[in-house]
Amino acid sequence: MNADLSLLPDQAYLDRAALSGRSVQEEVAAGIGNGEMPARYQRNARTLRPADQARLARARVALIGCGGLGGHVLEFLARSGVGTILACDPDVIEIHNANRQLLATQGTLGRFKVHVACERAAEVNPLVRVEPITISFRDVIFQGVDVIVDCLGGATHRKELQDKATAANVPLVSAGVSGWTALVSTTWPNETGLAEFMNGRENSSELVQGIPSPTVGFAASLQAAEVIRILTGAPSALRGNLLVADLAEMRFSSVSLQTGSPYSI
Amino acid sequence: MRIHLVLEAILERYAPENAGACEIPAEMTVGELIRHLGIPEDLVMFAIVDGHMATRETVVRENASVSLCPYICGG
Repeated sequence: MNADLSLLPDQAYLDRAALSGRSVQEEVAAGIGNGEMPARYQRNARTLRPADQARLARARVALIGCGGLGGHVLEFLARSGVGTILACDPDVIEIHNANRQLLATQGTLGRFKVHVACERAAEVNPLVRVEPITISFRDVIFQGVDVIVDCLGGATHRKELQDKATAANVPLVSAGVSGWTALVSTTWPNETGLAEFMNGRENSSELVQGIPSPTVGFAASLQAAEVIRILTGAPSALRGNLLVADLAEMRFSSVSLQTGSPYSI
Repeated sequence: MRIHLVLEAILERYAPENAGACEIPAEMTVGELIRHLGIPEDLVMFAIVDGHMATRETVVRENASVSLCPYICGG
């Protein structure tokens, strides 16, 4: 972290926003432009420089699904300072979510996942805002978002989400998990994406293997890294590429999705 | 001929002995390999041969590295 930066507590930005009528996120970005930095971001140091941190404060991300992948992605984005997160999930938290979903605790059973997401983000970082959407993403028009994060479970609606990202002209960061295996990929508008390979199938592995917690946290971590790098203008390592990770053998490989048509038997 | 075979996730159950140095008939296509292994075709989401996405018509060469992945869509 630049030694010349003035480190400010969260409350300074909250107070400024209350006085100015501007959003907290705007106050954070403006403050960074004036040589300040929220103290909570100081350990992002040179990995996320002030200009990056200001970009994150101004960013809007649509998080589709707040279950296994989505709960972890929310945590990473909120801690990193992504200013506005549209959290979209019509489901409530159930006991079978508890093995892997960060938002599933004894106190949140039966509650809408997106409402719990709002509370969690507020507890983690009051400088970010989560807008809860309790209807399906299929009924939402994504305007003014910078990235969409595909944290859906199952294949049924993946292609529809990819088409929505293309319509919104924004990148889509996707993952799928089963057992100890994780797939992660980023799709630019009008390019081949993971959803085309999933092909709407309902016979996928996780229905038999289940999803242990480390696998979902791992995949979500890679998704969040991609989102943060895209938002800060850095190259996306997984654009058009698919990462295949086997956590049982700690085997990692990536393959281009652009070199052939989806393999569908 | 010998290939290096990796069966991801739930497909592991179809792995032959010594999958890392697996003997298969020469000039097999990916589709034929899947049937040779007894894997139901609708379980396979994609195949990677020597680091590239393959189709069922892709021919598997000697010493090829072949990875077969089932549908993985959990979240």
